[in-house]
Amino acid sequence: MTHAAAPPKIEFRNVCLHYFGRDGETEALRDIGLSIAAGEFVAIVGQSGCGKSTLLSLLAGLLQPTTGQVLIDGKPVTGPSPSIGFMLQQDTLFEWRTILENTVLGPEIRGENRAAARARAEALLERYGLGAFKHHRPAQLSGGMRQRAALARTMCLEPDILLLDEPFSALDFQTRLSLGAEIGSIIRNAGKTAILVTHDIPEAISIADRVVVLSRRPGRVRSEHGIAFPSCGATRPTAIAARDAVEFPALFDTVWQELDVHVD
Amino acid sequence: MLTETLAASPRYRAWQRRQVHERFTIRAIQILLVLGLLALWELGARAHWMNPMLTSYPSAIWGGLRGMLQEGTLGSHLATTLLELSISFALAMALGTGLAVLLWLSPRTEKVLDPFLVVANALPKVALVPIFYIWLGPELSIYGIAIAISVFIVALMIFTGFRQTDLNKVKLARTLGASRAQILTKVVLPGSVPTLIAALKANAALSLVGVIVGEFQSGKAGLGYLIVYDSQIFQMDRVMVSVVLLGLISLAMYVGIQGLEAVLIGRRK
Repeated sequence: MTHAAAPPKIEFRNVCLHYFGRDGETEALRDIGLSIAAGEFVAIVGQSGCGKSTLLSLLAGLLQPTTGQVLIDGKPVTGPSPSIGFMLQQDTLFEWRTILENTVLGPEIRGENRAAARARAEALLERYGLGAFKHHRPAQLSGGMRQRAALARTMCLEPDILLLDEPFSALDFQTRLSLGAEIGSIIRNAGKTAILVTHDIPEAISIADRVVVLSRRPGRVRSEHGIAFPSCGATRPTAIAARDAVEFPALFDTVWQELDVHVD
Repeated sequence: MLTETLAASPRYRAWQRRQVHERFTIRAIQILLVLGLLALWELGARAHWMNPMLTSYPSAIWGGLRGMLQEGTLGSHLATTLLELSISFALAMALGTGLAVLLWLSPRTEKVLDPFLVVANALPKVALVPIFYIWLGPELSIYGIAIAISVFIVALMIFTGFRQTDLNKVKLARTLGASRAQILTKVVLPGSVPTLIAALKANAALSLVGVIVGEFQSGKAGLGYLIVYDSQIFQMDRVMVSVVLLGLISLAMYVGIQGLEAVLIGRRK
């Protein structure tokens, strides 16, 4: 950071969130403080129901914090922002659209130039190995291909920030490993800021620069862990290679201890 | 998943032949069933196992049809019923869809109207026939009753379909900044095509019921009018002609909607 005054790309300031329901009030997040630099890849881990996904919904402008502030580039989030791309656990491709039509959904909703969006979409699908399938329906593609198509749909928006809400968890193990690595490096190489929410510790460590552990509900930032693999040299190893790095087991143990998993 | 299509092997061709044979057998049994029933009906009436005055029989119905065709009024009765049916069907579909969209766009309206819709849907609408006759007159009451019978079930079916839209798709659209109207046109409506088809089928059947019941009460023309008129003068052959025509109308509507479904759903595969 050359400018000490430049705001972080993403900042949570003392964010609390309460859900109101028929059965009472639920405290989902308590006093979250977190700041993420531009180009950083952060993974958020925590157990089910700890509010991980809620953090992403706040950033995406789908929810407003009960107290505190959520800032992007120093400005409070008030609604869905064009600089954010969101990938959900399900690929949520529309089965009545072709892969290409799915890919241009974002620009279409935002009323952007169709021809430009289509050109971008075709280039992205080509790059992700889906060029031959752009006129296919989602039902004709495998789970991994569908999730790559969902990535193309997200990237077609040209977002600065990518929010990944367990996007690999619905895939089988092998696809999950290779696709996780692939999508991780695509996002890293594109220089995007990314937040990955997951409960898979190895996935978080192998892909992210920093792992944030949330406590059980109400979710609080329990600890943060910088991830580096000096044994692999100056450049970051691929997610697959990272799993074999000598630092990996110790990192896993640390995060595992912090996660404080009880089977009760 | 993409699967390679193999060149047809002898075993595959044998399987294909068995499939064709099975379809042919089912169709043949259906035709035999119809012919058998018609033959039994004809025989039963002619042998006086049952009273042909009451039951009529196929050759007499054929004769009735020829007589009605010679009088030359059957075509206009048929046209009257078809016109009333088309207009009622279209209006019920449009109003029902419009109501469903309104309920979806405004959750508060939905909550407020919910008990009223439940009652309106459960009320036996044929009870309204005399009231509509007095309020709307002989002509319009037919449309009134036909629409009343089908519109609520159409609206509730479509609205239920809207509510079953995948919430993750809606969430995705919201993250893209979609307005509620955009969510409706880009996610909810295209996702509800199967429900819309089901609503078309229900509407077709119910609109026809409504038109015929309406004609019973107040028609000066139409197949419903013919059925009442001919039964009062005990012309069962002619009553049966109208009933057969109604059967053909519902069959035609069903086949038409089925074809529409094949086109719309086929485009997704």
